[in-house]
Amino acid sequence: MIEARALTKRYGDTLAVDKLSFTVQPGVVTGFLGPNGAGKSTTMRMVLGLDAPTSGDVTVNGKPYAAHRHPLHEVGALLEARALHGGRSAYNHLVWVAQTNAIKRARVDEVLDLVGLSEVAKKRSGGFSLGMGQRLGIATALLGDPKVLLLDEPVNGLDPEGILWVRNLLKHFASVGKTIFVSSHLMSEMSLMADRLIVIGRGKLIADASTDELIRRAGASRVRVRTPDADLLLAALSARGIEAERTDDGGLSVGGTTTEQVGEIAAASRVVLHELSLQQASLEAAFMELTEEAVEYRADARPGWEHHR
Amino acid sequence: MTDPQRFRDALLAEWTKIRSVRSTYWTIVVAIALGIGLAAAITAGYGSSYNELDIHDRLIFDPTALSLAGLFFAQLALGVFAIVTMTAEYSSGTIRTTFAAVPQRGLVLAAKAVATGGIALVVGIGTAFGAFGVGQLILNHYGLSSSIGSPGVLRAIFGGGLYIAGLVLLALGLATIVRHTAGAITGLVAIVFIIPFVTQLLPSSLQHNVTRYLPANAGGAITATVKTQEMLGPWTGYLVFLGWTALFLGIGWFLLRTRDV
Repeated sequence: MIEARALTKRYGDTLAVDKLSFTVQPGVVTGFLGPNGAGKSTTMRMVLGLDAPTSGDVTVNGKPYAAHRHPLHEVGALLEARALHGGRSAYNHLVWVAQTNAIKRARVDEVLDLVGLSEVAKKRSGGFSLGMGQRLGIATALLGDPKVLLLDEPVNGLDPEGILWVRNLLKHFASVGKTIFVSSHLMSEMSLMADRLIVIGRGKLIADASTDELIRRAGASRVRVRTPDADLLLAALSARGIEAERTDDGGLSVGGTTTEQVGEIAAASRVVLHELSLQQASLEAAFMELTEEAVEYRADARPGWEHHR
Repeated sequence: MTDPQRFRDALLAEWTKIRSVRSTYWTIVVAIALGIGLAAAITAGYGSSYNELDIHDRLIFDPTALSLAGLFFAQLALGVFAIVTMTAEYSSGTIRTTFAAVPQRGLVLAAKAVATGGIALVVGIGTAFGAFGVGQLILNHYGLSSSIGSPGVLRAIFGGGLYIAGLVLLALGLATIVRHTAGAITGLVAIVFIIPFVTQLLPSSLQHNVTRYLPANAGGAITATVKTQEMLGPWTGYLVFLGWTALFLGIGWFLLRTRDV
């Protein structure tokens, strides 16, 4: 479990993380969502005690990260895929990480096997592809068989097969009771991976809810109708204060209602329907809607300000 | 550093990091080659021109220090080795993995210091013995050699290793402060070569009082068997030198604990 309380990080006059409070529960995959530069990486570095918060605090399994005697048994982290010395082999990289936390050597072979890098383990990691680097990063995170996994953009640079592998791996770990905290700026990926979402924009908490609830709350689902009597139905809908518009293919798109209600109105008005369906909003649309609330942030957002260092 | 087991684990990890990259072996080979090769070149040069030296230069002629002069260049190679153990972690990003694994950052610095300092001590003493042997072999040809039993000679040879170990720790402290390979190497070259050279431009009254307290000059006194006016005594000099090393490591340690990574 990860608990952040009013976590704040200021760089000069920029607030990278602004009084962020959230709890990441075990047993589910929690997505950490926000556009690039929203403060996700800074937050994750603060969880790991790498960056000191300006104010507020964050604990992992009830203690500050640095207070754990063998932190790799508590938290496994992937921050950057290519945080590797190119001249060192994957095997030796894992060996030194294991030694810091008194993890036995056999575990190195286990995680290499788990991520499918056994065959290239003795080769210099400088020749690794981005995907192989990600796999090694995930192997490093898994070394201590930690209760909490913290992964910053783990599917970046992975091919579809690799993405599927990470998704299934994380779902598996969540199902056995681990706490999974995974960041991404890709909404579509999060919708497939995460059960819960913590959404931030410019360091501020925008939403903290289940993925399904978030899509619903965004209210972006619409009812699609096709009918030969479009004018009649439009009039009937607007008479009841329901907003609807014509779509390019000659159908109607109706907002703020249900298929049941539209069907009943159509029946009452004796309108023939050729199609009546619910258009589920994509997470992408839900996200756009969410971040629109923080539109004043976006207006003066300086691109790349997360990479100030 | 309150927990010996944690320190042992951190030291093992640093040892694995060091032995698993090629640059370690290159820098050590270069250090040995420079230390012994230059001993041969310098002693051959002095030996063949001894008869042309004036009386003052003959009086301070120190066959032991001459044969160990190559260590002043070998120190650069080993200094670079120590610097890279720290700065390569910053350039590659593994420093975050390191500090996530060992949040007690002082422990990491201590482990790196023991590992690099230990290697430098062994390589330094070995190189000093090799350089002394080769140098005396050549000087013997001119009838100028000293022997290992002569006063101060063993101290000078072991002192060569101690000096190199101290310098490597200074370089590690510098690298911890600077965090960039090129910057730290430039700093090391400045400390060892450029600053002592620049102080020679000072008025001579001032010069002696400044120059001999500089890290390389103070530390280098331990490799001399003939004391000159400009030098501190071997152990006094070495203590001053250790003071410099402690200063750099101390600043590095303070910054390491407080800075974000």
